[in-house]
Amino acid sequence: MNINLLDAPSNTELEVLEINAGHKAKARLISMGLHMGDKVLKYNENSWCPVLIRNVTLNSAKIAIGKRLAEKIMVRYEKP
Amino acid sequence: MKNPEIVLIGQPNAGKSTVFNVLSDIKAAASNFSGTSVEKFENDITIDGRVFHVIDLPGVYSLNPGDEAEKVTYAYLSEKKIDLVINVVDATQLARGLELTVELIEFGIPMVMALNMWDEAERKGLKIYPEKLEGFLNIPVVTTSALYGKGIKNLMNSCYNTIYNGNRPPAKLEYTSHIEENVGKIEKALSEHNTLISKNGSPRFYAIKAIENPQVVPETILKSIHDILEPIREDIRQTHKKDGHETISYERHHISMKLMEETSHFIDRKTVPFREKVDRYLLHPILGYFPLLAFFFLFFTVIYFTGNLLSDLAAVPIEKIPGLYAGLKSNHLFLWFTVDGIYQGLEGAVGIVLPYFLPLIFLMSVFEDTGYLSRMAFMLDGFMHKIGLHGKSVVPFILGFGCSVPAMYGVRIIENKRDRMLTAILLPFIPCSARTTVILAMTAALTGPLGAMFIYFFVIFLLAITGKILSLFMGKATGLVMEIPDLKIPSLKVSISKTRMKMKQFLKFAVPFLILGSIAMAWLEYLKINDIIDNVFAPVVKGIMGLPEILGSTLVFGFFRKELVLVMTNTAFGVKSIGEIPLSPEQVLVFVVFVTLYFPCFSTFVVMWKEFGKKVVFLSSVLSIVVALIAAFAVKIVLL
Repeated sequence: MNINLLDAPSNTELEVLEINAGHKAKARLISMGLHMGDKVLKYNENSWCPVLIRNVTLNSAKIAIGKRLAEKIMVRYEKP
Repeated sequence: MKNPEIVLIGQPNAGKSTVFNVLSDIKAAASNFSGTSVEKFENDITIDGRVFHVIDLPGVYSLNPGDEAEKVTYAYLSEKKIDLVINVVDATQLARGLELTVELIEFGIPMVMALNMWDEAERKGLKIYPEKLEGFLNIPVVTTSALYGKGIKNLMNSCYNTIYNGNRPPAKLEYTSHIEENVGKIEKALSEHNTLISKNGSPRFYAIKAIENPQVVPETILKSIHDILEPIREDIRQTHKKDGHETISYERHHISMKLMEETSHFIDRKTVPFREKVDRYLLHPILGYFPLLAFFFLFFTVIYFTGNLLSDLAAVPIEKIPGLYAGLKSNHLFLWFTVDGIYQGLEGAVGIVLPYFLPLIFLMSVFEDTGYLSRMAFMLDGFMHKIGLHGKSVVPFILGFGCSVPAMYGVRIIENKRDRMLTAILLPFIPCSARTTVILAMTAALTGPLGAMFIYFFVIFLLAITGKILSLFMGKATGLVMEIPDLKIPSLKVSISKTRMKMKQFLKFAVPFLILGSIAMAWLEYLKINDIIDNVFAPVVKGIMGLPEILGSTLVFGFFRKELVLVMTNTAFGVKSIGEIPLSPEQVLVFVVFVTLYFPCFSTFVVMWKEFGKKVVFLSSVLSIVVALIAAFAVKIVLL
């Protein structure tokens, strides 16, 4: 199922499909290690805090992404 | 050969500053908190009788600079004389770290890799084979654990050998054939035009960058490839269905992934590590606020009580000193005023300021290394949005509790200009260690701990209101993208060394200021000039704030260093300890609120001017004075 990162479920492996952000934000995300095709794990449901993810493909540290930006990142996951 | 120039480059949190500190016995501000190093630090070190000039540059995720700190690194790398790069790579983030390594290899300066936090990577289940990595990259790879000083000697030996015993050419890490073909065309054109003479960096590096991100390529180079570059970028866009930046980034990502697969493997772990369990609690959207509140409470409580204890201990020997020069008062009045000025300055520095400053800088050093501060930024992002900022502004704000000067430099990590300016304007509202000393010392002596808590909450409330109002005129904040580094157990040795370094700076720069200020105040008193200053400020001090006129001149001195206010207040009232100051608890609160909020100190003023220009300094100064006056007046109306 395709969905944006903000609305995606937590504790489920998500595949990054597209980053529809502006050039600068996109470049920032890429340089911090978020690429199309990478698998990420989202830690938190929609809350007051930013979206918290970890790139499973890279075994990266956690990355906090503001909600508005998270809405622009499309991901895919397998519905159980 | 002149002293070789060695530059440390790595991604944020890779441990560059820790490597640098171990090399130079603690000089830079290192922490487990991205964005702590936002300016370059340098030092001469000696190995086997040879002197090396080592430079620690701000962390960069890639050679596509995004924020001001990254621009500093990129500019240095491309313009300055460099003999060797130490690429510090966080072994726990190997794949991502290798993306920068690939770029640095393309750049073409002799390089040694420090594979840092090597032990941490194994603990996290990543087994790396450094000899394989060395084989693939054809550069020396040295494993280090800088926090514990491990591997640093080997690293420097490797640097020594690379500089003096010959550098081997690094491996050529190839992109797909279509990209390579186009890079080759640009490289050829660059070689023909000979436009790279004044720049560091190989033709291959600039050829790749011209496709990936022409904005970072110097104009002279772009001019020489103007005719072929656009058709090449268009061809890549058509063929790869992505622009040059994305195409190169993805290909570099795949090169790094492949390198990682070839040189390491994951060991399956069945259980969630303890630190990860703790982290889930610290970052929990509801439960995470409890440790956050506990942190603030404990932080200031420990400083408050430790400061009180140390202050009482210091008072016993200090109070005996005035008796030694009391005889001067009858025969040599000017000399007595001068000696008493020196005493007041010393008494203020050792008996009042230092007892609170010491626990504060020690605790800051410990907490910086744990990685908890970036978790605070995460938890407070929602609140920051309400006041027109985002979580990344928490980074300089928290640094601001230590000192506003490095915090002002810390604003560089914020990418967006609007967010940077607003953060800088609000930053002087955060009570730095000097103002914390004033708050805690005065409230401890005259109002009790509730007074200190009131001031902190009131100041944060004012910061929020001011931010909200300013953001109405400045538009919305941009979104947050921030790395949350892994939690770490701080090294007591490193924390003590960092505290010692900050103490040295305090003794070197602040104490002379306190003594000279105190002498000046004593002379003003002797010449009765302070009466003139007090009269000038009387409408504000007495009229608006309801305080004795005598405090007017102390506020003038507070501009130079905020701790001076404490010393000057004692001198102005002619008392030997804060407890003897003839102010009511309510007056103390009014006075401390004003002192905390009005105008940043002289050093902050200078750095702010340098970083943001006179307009921002002017705006910030006027704003802080207006807010300080309104706040002090409001407290007076309510309490007096």
